[in-house]
Amino acid sequence: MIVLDKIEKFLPQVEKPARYFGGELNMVKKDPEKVDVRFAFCFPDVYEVGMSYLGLNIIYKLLNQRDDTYVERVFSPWPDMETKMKENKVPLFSLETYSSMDEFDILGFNISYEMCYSNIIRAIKLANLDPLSLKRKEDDPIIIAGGSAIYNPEPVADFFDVIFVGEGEESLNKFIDLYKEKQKETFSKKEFLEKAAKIEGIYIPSFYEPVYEAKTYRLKRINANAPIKVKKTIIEDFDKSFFPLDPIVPFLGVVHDRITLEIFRGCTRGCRFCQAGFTYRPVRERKSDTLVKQALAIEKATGYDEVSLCSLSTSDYTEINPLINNLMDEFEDKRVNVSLPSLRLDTVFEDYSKRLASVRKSGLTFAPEAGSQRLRDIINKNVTEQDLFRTMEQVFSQGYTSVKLYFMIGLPFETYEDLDGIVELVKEVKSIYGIAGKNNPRKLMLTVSTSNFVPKPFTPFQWIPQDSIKALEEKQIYLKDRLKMKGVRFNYHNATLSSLEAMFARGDRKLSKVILKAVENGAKFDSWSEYFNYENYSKAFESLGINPAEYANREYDTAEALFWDHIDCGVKKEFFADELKKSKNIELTNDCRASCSACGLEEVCFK
Amino acid sequence: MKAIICFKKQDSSKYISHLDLQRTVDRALRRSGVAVQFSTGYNPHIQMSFAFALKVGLTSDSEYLEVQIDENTDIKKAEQAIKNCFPNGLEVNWVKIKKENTKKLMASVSKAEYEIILNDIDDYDKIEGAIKEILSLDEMELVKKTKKGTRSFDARPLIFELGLEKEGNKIAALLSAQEKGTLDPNLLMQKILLVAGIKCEYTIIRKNLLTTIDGISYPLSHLAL
Repeated sequence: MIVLDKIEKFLPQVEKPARYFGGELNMVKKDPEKVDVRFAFCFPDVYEVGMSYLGLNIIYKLLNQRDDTYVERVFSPWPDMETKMKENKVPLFSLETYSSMDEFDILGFNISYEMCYSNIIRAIKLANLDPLSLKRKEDDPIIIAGGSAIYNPEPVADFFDVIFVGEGEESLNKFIDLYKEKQKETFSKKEFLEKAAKIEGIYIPSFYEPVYEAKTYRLKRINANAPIKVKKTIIEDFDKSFFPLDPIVPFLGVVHDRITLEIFRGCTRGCRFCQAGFTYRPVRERKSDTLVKQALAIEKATGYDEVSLCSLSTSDYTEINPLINNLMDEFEDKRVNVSLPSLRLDTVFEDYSKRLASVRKSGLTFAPEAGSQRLRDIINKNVTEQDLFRTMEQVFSQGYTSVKLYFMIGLPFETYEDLDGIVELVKEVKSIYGIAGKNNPRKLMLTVSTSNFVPKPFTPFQWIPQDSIKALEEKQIYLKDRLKMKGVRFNYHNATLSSLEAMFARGDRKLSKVILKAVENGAKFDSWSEYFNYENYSKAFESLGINPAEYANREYDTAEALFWDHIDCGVKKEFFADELKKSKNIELTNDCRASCSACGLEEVCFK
Repeated sequence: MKAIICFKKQDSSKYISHLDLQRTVDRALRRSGVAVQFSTGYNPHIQMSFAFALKVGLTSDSEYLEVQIDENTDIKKAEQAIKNCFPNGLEVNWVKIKKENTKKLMASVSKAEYEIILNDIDDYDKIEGAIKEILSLDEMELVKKTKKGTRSFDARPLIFELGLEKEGNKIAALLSAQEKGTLDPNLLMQKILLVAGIKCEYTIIRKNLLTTIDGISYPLSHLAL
């Protein structure tokens, strides 16, 4: 069904109608009649968030290079639009051709964070499909998922026919080739999935079954075509890997509205709380020359006025100084700014900060993460107090008046003394401003922002219990009382949201029922504070008789089977266990660039 | 020197807000490579201004903006480059050099010409009657929404021409469009339907923007060489 005429009747009445209309510069146009495979790339959040996601443009442009495939975009309608769509019986539709989902062969959901699960269910329902894969019909579209938050797929495993683990560029192409064979040979969905299970990086949830016996858990393989362990896919030659040079330019102001260069994947730091730091390993860099060429081509195709460098730890990029200087030289006359997302405290700051315009504009963010050296060593955040103080001295004497410090609370083995450490650091930074910033035109504006620690799979802290909601809130109040100082603003994250994030991060298939129930209770846009309501979930847990603390607040035993043991992210479980031991002993682990810690990726990793 | 760019706003661009339109045109001009003037400072942007903002959802045959360009610009070449770079839905009608010593476009606009297409209607007499009645009034109070709430105002002096064209199923309206007083065609249309006592779906198109010099109104193209 083409819904264009229907939506035009009510689009003027919804907020930001351009979210639903497509037609942007560099959108791909094809005749849907002339392709074999129609693929809906579904991003389970609002347009502005989805369009800021680099992975969307990569997959969209990569797969659209194929003449036989047309990838179109689908975003979650904002609640005002969802209501209008339901009132007018308009199903979920694509922005390119305004087609409903039954016109598509494959629906591919991107999962970048756990809190989008409710929106996935809403989208599937709005497409008039059953959220449970086993209840969908033989000729319904195949629903697949992938993305950076899919390393523990179990809470959403029941919803998808196929889940992609790792970097999907190659496996997606193989999957589409296979789908074309299915069209020709007309083999059944089951036969198709059996063949798909043989592609590296593909997980078919229905080929496995959880078994709970006497308090133990295991995931039983019930189809011999499926691998015992699903190995994540890795692009080996990152420098030469595909990168879109003509990304879509949204009409609407989106969150990241600029040229984004992905300078490298992976991270060598090994911060023990950081999932991306392990799952994106090994580190692979793109050459500085390649990046400058890409930036010039993208600028020409888009007219963007800003270039931003994207990675997990930008200042670690080997050729960072030549890269920034070359970009500046190329773009100065074109009035294009170069910006960096955030900087590490041990960055040699003065080298290039003076040439970075947008850093000045938006102030600076630094992440000491914890208030004491003991706790920073426990999490393997290799920065010291001296790093912070030296950097603050530098930035204040350069005239900066606004700085944001980012900490985590509820970290493993944290005590109230560590929280006092945060307060002490803030006091010290204030007094440094009194000296180094005394000639600055304005008073210091120091923002202290805390997030709550969430134990994540594929990190050394995957076994660690999260603080209870009450304990987190008490810590927040403790800090709030002590950070009532002139020129200091204190922000903190919602503890119930973090708790839910922990449950989903470490959850099993039982949680799929909780998600379905929560959506019935009204859950939507959970990462948006105006819509998040913990009750939607707490009621769901209660009515299903599932104890949420089992997932969030229980210490998982290093000997027990984890719900994500069937996924192989490249880094060995023994390495994580070893890292956990070291953290208990307050021992540091070297940056991989200094010496290899044999995490399991030695064969593919740069030395 | 300044150039005037006259363009259409339709299809996929009709839902973009004024702010988004500014950003979109900024990028299009950057891509065109035409030597435009930038503001100074840390966040340079192209110095341009639009004649009169268009409400989200309306289409227009003639929108205007002015932009400072390099003195040595070959305007024909610039026109071609700009035409090639405006995105889908924003079709460039023409690019011309602006006459010297003229006021800013924004300050020059006095009236806007609209076409209101009536969908699925057979009771033209009622519409015609309503228009006649409105034109015969000395005063017509309408209520508009403002940021603070609602405000009533006299709309009658803001209507210069209003007539039904049965052939094309459409109403032509010439309405005031300046800071002192602007009449939203949507508001007027709601009033017409209320007076006529009927319901009907309609589409509003802005046809042109006018400037008034010594009592005579001309399309804004009058300000271009």
